[in-house]
Amino acid sequence: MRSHFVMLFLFAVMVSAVFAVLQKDTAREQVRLGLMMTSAFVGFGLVVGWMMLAFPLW
Amino acid sequence: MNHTRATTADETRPMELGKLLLLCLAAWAVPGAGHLWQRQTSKGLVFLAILPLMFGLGLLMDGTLFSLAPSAQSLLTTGAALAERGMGLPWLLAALLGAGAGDVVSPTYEYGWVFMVVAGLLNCLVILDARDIALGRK
Repeated sequence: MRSHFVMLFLFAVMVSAVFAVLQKDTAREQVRLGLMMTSAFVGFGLVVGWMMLAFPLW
Repeated sequence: MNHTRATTADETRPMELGKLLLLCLAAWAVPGAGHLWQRQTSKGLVFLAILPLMFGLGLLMDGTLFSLAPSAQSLLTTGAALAERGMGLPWLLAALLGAGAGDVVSPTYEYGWVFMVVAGLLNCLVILDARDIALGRK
């Protein structure tokens, strides 16, 4: 497993699932919050990843 | 009718201290055990499935089990070592089996230890949630 995106996605799914189950009580609410948080994790990761292209490597 | 009321009052009564400590210890040792103990089966099973999996994936990604030597390491490393110990038995098993040597030149090393540290921190949140449920705060 060497794909950074796969690892980011796995991390996002697992952390989101735990947070969603902790914060919500019904399955429907848990799924909704979990999907929203996963999307936010992945979306934010991609945006920050692209932004880092502007910075040189030291 | 009276029986129903008695049962409801019993369920909402805060847990006594000794039992609460035992619950927190069980929740630390086995992720999700605190919720399973309190009959929150679906929540407990989700934690039991995800947290050890996350920790195990971290090990597979060449993550490291940080040693705890506060006087000889940075504050951040000490924090990471403590966070990993939040996983309970999976951490203990990995330490006993000699896993988690860590390979700093592996491309997935950083992901690995982050998975392991975050799994430990999430288990701490799960323990606090189980404690709040036991105290009748949730």
